[in-house]
Amino acid sequence: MKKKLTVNTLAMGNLNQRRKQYTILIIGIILAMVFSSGVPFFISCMRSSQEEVRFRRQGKQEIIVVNAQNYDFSPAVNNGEISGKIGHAHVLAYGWNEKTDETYGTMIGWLDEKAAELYYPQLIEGRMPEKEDEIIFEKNALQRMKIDAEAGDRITLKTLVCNGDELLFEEKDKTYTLVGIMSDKKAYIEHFYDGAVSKASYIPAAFVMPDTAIELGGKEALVAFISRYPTSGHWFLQNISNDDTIDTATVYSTSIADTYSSIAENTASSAFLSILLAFMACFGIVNAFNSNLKERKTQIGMLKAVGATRRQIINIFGREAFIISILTAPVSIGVSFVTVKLFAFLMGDAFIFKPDVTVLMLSAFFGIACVILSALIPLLSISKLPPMQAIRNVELMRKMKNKKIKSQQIFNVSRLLAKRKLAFSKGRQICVCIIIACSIVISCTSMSFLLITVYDMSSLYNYDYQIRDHSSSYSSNSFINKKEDFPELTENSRYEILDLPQVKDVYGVKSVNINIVFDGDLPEYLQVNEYASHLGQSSRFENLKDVLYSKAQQAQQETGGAFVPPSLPEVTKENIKEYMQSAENPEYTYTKKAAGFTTEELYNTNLTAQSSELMNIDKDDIIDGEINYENLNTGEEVIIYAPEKIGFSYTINRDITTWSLSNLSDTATRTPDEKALLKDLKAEADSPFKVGDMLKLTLIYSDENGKITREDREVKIGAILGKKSSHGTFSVYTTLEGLDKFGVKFNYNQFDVVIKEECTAETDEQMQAELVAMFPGKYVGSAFAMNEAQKREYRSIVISLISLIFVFICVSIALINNSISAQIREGKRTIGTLRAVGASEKDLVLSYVMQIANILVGGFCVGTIIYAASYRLIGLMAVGEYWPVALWPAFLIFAILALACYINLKVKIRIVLRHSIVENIREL
Amino acid sequence: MNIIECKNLTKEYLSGENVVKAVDDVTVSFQQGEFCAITGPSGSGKSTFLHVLSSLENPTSGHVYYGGKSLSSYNDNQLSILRRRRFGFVFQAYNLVQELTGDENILLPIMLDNKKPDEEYLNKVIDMLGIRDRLEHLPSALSGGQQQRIAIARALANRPAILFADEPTGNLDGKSGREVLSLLKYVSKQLGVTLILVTHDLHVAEQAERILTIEDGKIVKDTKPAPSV
Repeated sequence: MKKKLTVNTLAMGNLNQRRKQYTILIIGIILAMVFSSGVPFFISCMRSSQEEVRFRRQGKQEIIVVNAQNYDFSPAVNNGEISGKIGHAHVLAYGWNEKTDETYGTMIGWLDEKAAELYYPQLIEGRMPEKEDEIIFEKNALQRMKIDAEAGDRITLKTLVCNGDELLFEEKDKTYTLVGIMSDKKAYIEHFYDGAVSKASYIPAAFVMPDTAIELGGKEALVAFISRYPTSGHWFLQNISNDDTIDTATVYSTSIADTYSSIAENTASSAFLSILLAFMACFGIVNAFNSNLKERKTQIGMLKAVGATRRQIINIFGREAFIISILTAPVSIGVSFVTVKLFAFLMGDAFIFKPDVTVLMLSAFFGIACVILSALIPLLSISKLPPMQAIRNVELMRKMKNKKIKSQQIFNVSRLLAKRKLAFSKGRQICVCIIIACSIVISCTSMSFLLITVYDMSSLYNYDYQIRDHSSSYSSNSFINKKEDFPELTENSRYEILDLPQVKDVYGVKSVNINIVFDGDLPEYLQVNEYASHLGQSSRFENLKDVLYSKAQQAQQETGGAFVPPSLPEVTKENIKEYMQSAENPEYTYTKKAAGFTTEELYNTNLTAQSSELMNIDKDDIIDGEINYENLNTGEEVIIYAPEKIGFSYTINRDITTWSLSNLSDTATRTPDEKALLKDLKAEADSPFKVGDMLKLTLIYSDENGKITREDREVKIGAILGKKSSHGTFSVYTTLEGLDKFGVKFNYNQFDVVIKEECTAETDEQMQAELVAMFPGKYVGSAFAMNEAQKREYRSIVISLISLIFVFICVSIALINNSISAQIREGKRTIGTLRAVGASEKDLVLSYVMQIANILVGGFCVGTIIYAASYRLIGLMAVGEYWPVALWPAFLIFAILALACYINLKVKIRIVLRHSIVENIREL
Repeated sequence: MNIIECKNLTKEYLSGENVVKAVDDVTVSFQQGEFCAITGPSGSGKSTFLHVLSSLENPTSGHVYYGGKSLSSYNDNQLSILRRRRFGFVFQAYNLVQELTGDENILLPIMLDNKKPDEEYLNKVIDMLGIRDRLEHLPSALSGGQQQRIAIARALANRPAILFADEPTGNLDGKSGREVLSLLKYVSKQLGVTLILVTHDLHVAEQAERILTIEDGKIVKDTKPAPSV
């Protein structure tokens, strides 16, 4: 029995017979499907990765209420404000390691089933507690308590049993078996959630077996983990904030919807790139299919001549694309899947790619749909042609007739042919031009970001450890450096650190309160600085809002009524001086008198002194003058930070006060947020300082007995900084030697420790332990972990940018080569003819090189212009200034594309030349 | 004097699993200025013989000698130079470069050779072929006869020693075919060019000074008909 002739058998027959000619089309289709099916994969990967990061770091809950033991959530659930998914952490006790400070401890509790689901604890090692006396800690909690234990070790903690929101007084020793370590969560919650961080300490970071009962005499505290509804969750937050039974400071909220919107933003940029890739690949299909159909115009014409309708033509030839896409779908989706998986693997643990069936189906559908739609574009246009037009290729004849061609008497064959071919196939060339332009824009932008990242990588923390003592910042009067407030890091401490065998160098930083003395009133510039007293040092004015609030609170306590927030007067440029001066700081009056000043006015600021090696001043930040370390060391000069123009903005809402002291020197390049803030300017002034001006400085300090002494110096302003930073605070800098010239020995506030060899995880632990032992109670920070985390992040960025550049260049090369192959195949007859009349391989290659060169140069110019403009615009939007554009990446990419195309062209022409002239000339 | 000759020339093709000898051990020579027609039934191998003889295809075995030198000793580049300077080709399907005008198509071999066109000679050829008013047109705007005349002019542009024509009248109607043939004959005689022409049309072949008949890849007859009056 004969086979029935159907559209499918026709299409399959075509595919079988023209297998060779279809190779390019098939490659194009696979490529397009890889990228188009990769779009859902990539989006899914980005989304799930960021979602997982959020869950791992903060948990799945959106609201946390601590001390929730007396709160009834059922009305909120019934009103639809929150979902019924509420879990509780049952807090039993507060525990700490007796070898460390009590404040480094943590709450101990257990999670009920729903809480465990919402809090999403992640085991780093070991298992969850299953028996009594078993315990598991978050990593950070163990480190804080300096417990160096592994799963299976027995540890003893000092504990205080909970009694609701309080703790019982009796200390008890409790021994547990550590069964595992969990990744950090509480630290992230403190960082990411809105609300008062102080109360976050109620969230446990150590967990015992579920259902463990509290010690006798105690009462469990509950921490509620809540999942809210996106549209009505805010009502719950509003209602709970008005509820007297619960302190608003115990409510933490961070909506997953917010996280999703940030995920959406991050995913959108990645999705945009993958969609662009898919588009480029689709362009490739349009090109390849167009060329395939052009070769078969006669066949289409013949089919139409024997009665095939337009729909049937589309059906037959579209079916081919459909069959190819169905047949190649497993390979394409497989390649796409493996690529995204590889990407996720290279990017590290934080990247998760686990597509479900829906994503797989979506990818397959998206891939096939892209192919069909791309194939339809040329098919729709070619199926419109009447039969004879298709057979005789009238379209090309018409195109040629319409061109006003003038014969040339002397010409270069290759050049003329290239010029004419370009003129007759403009549409197709535009497609390739767009592909090249896209590739240049994306690759160059990625390359520029890559350079920035590599540059940033070199500017990681320039120390390995930092030791800080902030005791001086607790000084009640910062006009005076009180002996009892002196930091405890002495010169001896520095030598002690230097004695450690691993240490290469120790750089110290000293920070003291200093006053500039004026014979008359302060210049306007410094008065504006003083309005922002909340930002730094004490000033002669207090924060008026605080004054008014404390007055209102006092009134409430006296009357016993409800607290009524004071109605604050409207602050304007005109009344701010009067407004601020009504709250003069009594410490100011006291200090002036105690130090023996009468008519003079003092401006209090901070003097930071550090060794010249550590100063590392950015030359671009210098407004005037130059840094002369010799003069700084002798105490003749100081450096000041004083922007040319500053402005003070101050807004008071019901609960939030926003103030800012800004550098107004470069208003034009500010971001929209900064510009919006500057609309609320209450005061502004130009800098009165000039390089060479003399500053009268007085350093006031007191001894153990409270005896106040002052050291006066007159120093020259050697350099003024403040060109690049955005803040407007005034401050003074010098070297450690320069500070010593005041004749007072101050201690260090900070040590930056650099070790001899590159830090490893082992040396890091050892060094940390030694430094912690040397400086109990002081902050000891390791830059190792920060640098490692930063390096990991940079590495991920570098990998993704390099992959992006690689993928775009490869796709462009593949698509351009696809187009070249199609052109060569279409032009085989011309090649044969030219060979017959004596054209050499060189002539033929040259003719195509010129065509490609035209397209490449066109794409390069368009791409480079778009890249330069968009890169500058990104700079303006991101940091408020135009980023300088480096053009060499564009030239580099152009050279890579050109080289790849040339090699491919040469190979393709060689293949054609391998056949005889007669074979070239014969119809395919 | 022999201008081109072949010895034991064989060309084989693979047709499925079978080897087909399109040209089978042919030895023949052609005199300078001669007009020779190669004829035979369809599929006899006459076109293949012309293609191999004119270096458009490589022989499976045997040699073609031009000016006493075997073409198999030429490299690709030397063959290209030979084709552009010494050989001219006229195809049944004209094979003009579609993107170039008639004029430019004619100038192709000269431009490929980086030479200055000999205006006087070219004008003479163009006038002889009667195509002066069609020179500015692209091939798509020309009739079959006009395209073939342009192809003849291109073939003659570089003063070739031999003009190879493969069924030059095959795609033309009777009148145009006759015109093209007489032009070919006239021009080659006037310019002293050897004309080797493949045709299956006996009326066309009869106009030649020598007729080679090929059957199954072999020359079965080599005749010199009496010159027509």
